[in-house]
Amino acid sequence: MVKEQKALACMLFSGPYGSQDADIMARIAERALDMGYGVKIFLYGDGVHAQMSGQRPKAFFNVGDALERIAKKGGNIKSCVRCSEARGYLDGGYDDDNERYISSKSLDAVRIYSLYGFIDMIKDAHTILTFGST
Amino acid sequence: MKKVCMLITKPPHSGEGAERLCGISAHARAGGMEVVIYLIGDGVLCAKRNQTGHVGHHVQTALAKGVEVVASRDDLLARGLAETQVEPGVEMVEDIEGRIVTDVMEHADRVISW
Amino acid sequence: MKHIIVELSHPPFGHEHTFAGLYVATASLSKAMDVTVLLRGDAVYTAMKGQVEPQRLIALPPTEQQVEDILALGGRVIAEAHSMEVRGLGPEELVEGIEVLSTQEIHDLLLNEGDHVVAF
Repeated sequence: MVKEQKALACMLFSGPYGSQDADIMARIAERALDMGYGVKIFLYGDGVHAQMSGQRPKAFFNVGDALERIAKKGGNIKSCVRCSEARGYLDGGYDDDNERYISSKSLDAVRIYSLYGFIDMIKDAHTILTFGST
Repeated sequence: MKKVCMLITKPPHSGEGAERLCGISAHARAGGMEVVIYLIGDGVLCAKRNQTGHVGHHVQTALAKGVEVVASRDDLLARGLAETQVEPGVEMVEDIEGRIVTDVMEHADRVISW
Repeated sequence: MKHIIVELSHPPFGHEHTFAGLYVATASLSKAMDVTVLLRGDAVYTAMKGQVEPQRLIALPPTEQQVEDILALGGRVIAEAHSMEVRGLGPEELVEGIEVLSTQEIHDLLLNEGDHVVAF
């Protein structure tokens, strides 16, 4: 049933809740996974706030929960280390075993990584969609 | 025929978005390309009927030139825009995510999201 | 070799978008990709020359230097003629090596060149 693993890469540049972009990206990414495509997501700029653990919006679409579902379904989610460090997410160096920078504030579903993580996604992706960046 | 798919999540009257989108659409049509614009989130406001000024002109011109405009039905209805308030020719789609994924992964030669 | 087009539309300094796009361009070049940077709308200010120590004065990196680095690494940087004209900008005010193209030429590039477009 698995289609040829063509990958859809998504970049999110705006934070959750401030705009609908994170919701839109998460819905498209999850739909792509359900349809049998590979999905890679890069959180960039304020988009890294989507990695915050413990998100509890009262009436809005829960972006954190959506990212966890996406990761469980096989989506590969990375966030920019430079943007994450600037916004206070880091509390350790690079963890070789788990291939991510250490952060107690970030969801397990998201790996904090260098910008080259996004460049590799661009290289491998069949299609790139960007959200919240214009 | 080459196909270009463009996704827009921004409202039409702020910034240069609608003008730029319609400019490149007209250019692609003139060059013989198939063009699909997906309106999602605030982007669906581009589909409001009877808009005047440059935005109305651009949307109507794009449709007249054969640009396919596909809008998220849920985003329209949630904003109080029923089918009668949407520019004729705009297609309202319930499974907009499925439509976008299929098109950008299987049919598009070029994808741009703004 | 993969070729990406990075389209910038925001003015530099006031928003992070420009820096984010320029970092993607530089990182892509260092990973042996072809890169074309398009400066449209207020993003034409990204390539202003004569920026006076932005790092010291407003604690932000000089985009002039970043544009020069991209050109030195073999990237193309293109400014939209119409965007420059309406802002009263002449080519002599921009970093040397920038190409100035018409909107039609930029549309052709966005539709037909490269593998992916990433817009900021």
